[in-house]
Amino acid sequence: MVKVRESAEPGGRVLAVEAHDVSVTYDRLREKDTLIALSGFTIDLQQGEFLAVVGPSGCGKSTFLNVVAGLTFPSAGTVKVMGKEVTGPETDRAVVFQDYALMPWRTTEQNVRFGLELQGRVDASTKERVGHYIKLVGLEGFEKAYPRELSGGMRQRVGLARALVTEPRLLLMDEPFAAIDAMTREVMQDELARIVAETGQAIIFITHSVDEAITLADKIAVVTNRPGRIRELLTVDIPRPRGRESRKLPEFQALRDHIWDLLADDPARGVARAAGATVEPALQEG
Amino acid sequence: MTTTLRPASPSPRTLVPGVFRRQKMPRRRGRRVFSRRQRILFSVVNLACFFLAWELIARYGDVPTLFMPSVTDVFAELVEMSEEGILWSNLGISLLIYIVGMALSLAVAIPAGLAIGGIKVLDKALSTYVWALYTMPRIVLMPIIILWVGINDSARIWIIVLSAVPATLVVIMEGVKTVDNSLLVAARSFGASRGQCFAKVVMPSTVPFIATGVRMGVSRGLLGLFIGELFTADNGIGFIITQAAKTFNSAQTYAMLLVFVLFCVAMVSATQLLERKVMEGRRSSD
Repeated sequence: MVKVRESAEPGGRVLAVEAHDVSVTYDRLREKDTLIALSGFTIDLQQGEFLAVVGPSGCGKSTFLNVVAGLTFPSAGTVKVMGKEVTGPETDRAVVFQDYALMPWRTTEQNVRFGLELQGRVDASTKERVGHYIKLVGLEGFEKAYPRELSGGMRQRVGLARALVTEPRLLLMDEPFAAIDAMTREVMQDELARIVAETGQAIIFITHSVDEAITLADKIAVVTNRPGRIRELLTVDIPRPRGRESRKLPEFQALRDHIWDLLADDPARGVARAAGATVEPALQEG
Repeated sequence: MTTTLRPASPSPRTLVPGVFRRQKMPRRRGRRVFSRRQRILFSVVNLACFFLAWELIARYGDVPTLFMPSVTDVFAELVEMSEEGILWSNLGISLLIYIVGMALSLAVAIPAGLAIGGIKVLDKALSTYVWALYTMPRIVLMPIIILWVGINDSARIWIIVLSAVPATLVVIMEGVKTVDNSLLVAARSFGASRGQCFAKVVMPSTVPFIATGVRMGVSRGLLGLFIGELFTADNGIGFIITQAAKTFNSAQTYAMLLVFVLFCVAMVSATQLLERKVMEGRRSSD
């Protein structure tokens, strides 16, 4: 396993995330049944480690992220972040959302400081800090722009800066590039790799693009459908930086094939396989 | 779509046989844009034509003066009333009553709208009554108001309040419900309390609805003012109109009607201006 970032914790003892046997169920009122969104999720994440969670739509990977964020509560199991049990959102975590979730009435600058305001952390140094992170995500010159004046990729940069400026030790990214066009997406992946190499927090990154996961992550959790459970936890040994060239490496391709096989072998899709149909994974390529 | 490279012929054929592409595409007609001066000029000419037509019909048409006094008579009446002081004192009273009524209405409707829209229990309990009050013609309340407070200025204020409040209330109430849930989740992910969610997300995203609600309230309040003055007053524009009509002084009736119309237009345009100012900074992000 390639460790690119050093543990932030002295001695590296405290795990960034410790999820033990986490299950989430929803009671569905209309169907009068219980939906198991997640079942028996167990994952440990070191400080500064990058975990990608890959799986088909609706497999519960976003639910897992919400549990870690403290936005959803598990019906069984425990989650610890930085050694403390999750009871709700904390300042040591920040989330980047798929739909950006920027306040349309705030400029880039004001959106970036949104989290700091809510956490009561605005002081004399705030302006400088906000400026620093705007620069880090490459939005210099767009400080006074409103989200409607920015492209999708730029909006997500604002979303990323808004999360980073709170200096979280764990960054949670919920399909952050899913709504961004393919070309911009590659740029964003490179940028993210560059940025986290600099800021060094642990990351949970939800995606349904296999390539994206391999490009970015130290560890990949492959999740299969209904109930969402971890099929396999993989370690990515490909040297960084992983640009477009590294996609041609045999390791990369082997890993990609392996993940696709796991996803295609989903028991939920077993019927189609048995009938001799070609298994067309319901995933999109990065 | 396939593009074929071929030297531009004077009349290139389209893919459909026998159909020739037009030499010049018809220019797409955009919306015509008028300059400020043009718009003012247009309004002036428009109004002048209206008054001219009125004068001509009143003078040469076969309409009794009682039904339709000439414009010149109406304006002469206005000048006379202005000199006698009847015009200004009554206009002043109406304006004062209206402003007091509207200030009260907004002071009630804006917080109430935010509360009812934002708090589920309140919404469940009260929205039926709000809608009932909104739907019913407010004039039926007049006898009850007279019963309660008698025939005086507070009756006039009451009817303004009862006319304006529901109109403003429903718009704000529904506006609060349109708040983008993902923005609320984003705020919660930074640890926002309920109060913070309200102040930093719900309130700002409801601002355009508040502006619209105020405009609705202002026009409904004008209706209330007029009803109040017809029924209960011994002064004010509405009172002079009824008095003039009762004494068959048609020039005065028309003159005061004109004043009332101007009064309404002034109020509504002022709020429209306010609304536009608010909306300018607030188009949605897409």
